[in-house]
Amino acid sequence: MGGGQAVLFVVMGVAAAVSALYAVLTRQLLRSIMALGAFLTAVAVEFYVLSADFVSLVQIFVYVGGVVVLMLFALMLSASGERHPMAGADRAGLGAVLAYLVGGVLAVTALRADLPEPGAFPEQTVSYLGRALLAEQLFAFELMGVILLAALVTALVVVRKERQ
Amino acid sequence: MTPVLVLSAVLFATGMFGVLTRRNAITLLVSVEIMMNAGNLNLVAFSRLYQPELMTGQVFAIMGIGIAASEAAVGLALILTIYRRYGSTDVDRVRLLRE
Repeated sequence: MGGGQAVLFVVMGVAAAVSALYAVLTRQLLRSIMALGAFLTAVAVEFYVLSADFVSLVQIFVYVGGVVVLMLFALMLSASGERHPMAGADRAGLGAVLAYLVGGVLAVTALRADLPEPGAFPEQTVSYLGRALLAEQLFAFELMGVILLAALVTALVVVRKERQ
Repeated sequence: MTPVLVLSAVLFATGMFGVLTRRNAITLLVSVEIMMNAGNLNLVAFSRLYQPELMTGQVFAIMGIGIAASEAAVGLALILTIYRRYGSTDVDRVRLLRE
């Protein structure tokens, strides 16, 4: 990572962490979903900084353009503007301690790990990814298509109104 | 790559905090998406370190994004059904199997 990229990484990392915390803490669902959109965009920029340009684009198309809009529709069809309180203070405190304990263990493990230095990386990833997805990992790729189809059919069946 | 892994740990913990404390089904789904993104960030970071020519980590990340999309579709369909039945998306009110 060069100097400019390092700055971009830090700025977007802070943006991702803050928007994730806001999405989790806010009492209004619409704000939560919008903060999730900001978080996903920040993560997409992080992918780009980590020289994963195609993954970054997929993230924006599928997540920001798909999942967030799907969530907005679900919100529109279900909840009104009611507020959704957190769990009680004891459970919230316990959850915070437990979650950040796990996060702390992960972070300490990452800090102590003996990682190799990142070497040269292809400038453009698309051609490599195309070869990987459509040649070496073709079976997994096709299987993902089947899973997506199954999920779509399942969603339709689950959400269909039952006949009286 | 260590800063990426630390950031990913922080994001994962934030998502886990949401899963443990929030009681609204849509917010739970938002928190799960945050956790999955933390995982994807790790995969992309490791793709820089190991087998860069094969792009194994990035292929994993793309698969993860696809799975997350189908998970969101099924999850939101379930949430709509729960709302129709209970008039709320609060997961504490769903107690069909407990009674």
